[in-house]
Amino acid sequence: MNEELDWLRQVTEVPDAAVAELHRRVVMRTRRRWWPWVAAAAVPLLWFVPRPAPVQNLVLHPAAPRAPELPRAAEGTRSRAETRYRAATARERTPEPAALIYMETNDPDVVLYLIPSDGGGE
Amino acid sequence: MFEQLLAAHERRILRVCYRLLGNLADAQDAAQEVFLKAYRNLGSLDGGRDPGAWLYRVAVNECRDRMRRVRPFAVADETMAGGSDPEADAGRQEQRRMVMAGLAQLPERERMAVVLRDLEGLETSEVAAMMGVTEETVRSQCSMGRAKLRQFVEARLRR
Repeated sequence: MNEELDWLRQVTEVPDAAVAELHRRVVMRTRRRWWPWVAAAAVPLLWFVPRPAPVQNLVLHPAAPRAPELPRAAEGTRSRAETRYRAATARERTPEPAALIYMETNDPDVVLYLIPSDGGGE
Repeated sequence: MFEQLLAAHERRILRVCYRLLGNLADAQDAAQEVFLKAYRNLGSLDGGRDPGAWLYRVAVNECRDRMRRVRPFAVADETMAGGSDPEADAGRQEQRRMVMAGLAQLPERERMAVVLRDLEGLETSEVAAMMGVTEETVRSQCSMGRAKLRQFVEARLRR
């Protein structure tokens, strides 16, 4: 009787590999995750990072019109059309006021002017 | 604390799940669920209760739930190599398959009685409490189940 039960217990024993696999699975499922803590710490930090001025405070000049495509001549030469175009634009070119960006800040006493490097004297 | 609990009881819990469910995959799922429940209730486990007995009861209930909810006792054709002698391994595999097939043909209550009392070595009173029946019923189910299992194994061995 006891031998019979011992034999039954022996043949229904679980292998070491299955126990190790169970151990690994349980440890994986119960491991403390770090990312919720990092996310919780990051939210207040991001809250205090200085933000740029609102978009509606920026006054941007429209982009300059693009020059029309010129007909291409052979390398080293200049086509008639290009010659005429260059002559016409040289006559019409007048000094333009420098483009600048004016930006209000949250402080009413402070405004920012961003002046391009080609000057303009503003 | 939890690591110690896991290391101390994992083999026993996996073994009872395997004997009650009939295959390793289901047994591992059930045992994992038992330990996750223990992890969630770690605070209440500290209060002087025997964690081994608690885990064991939870494991038996989990297996009963699974047999009703997921699928009944199902023997899988698993390979459990591990020894250095392939011939002896093959013989053990065959014996294990035969015993599991024998357990599979028992009614659920007889199988539980045989597994918990004979294979797991629990007291009749403990088995009766777990199954919610009288000790007399456990003894009778155990004896009927064991007789059927013996008959099944002997018939297979004679072939």
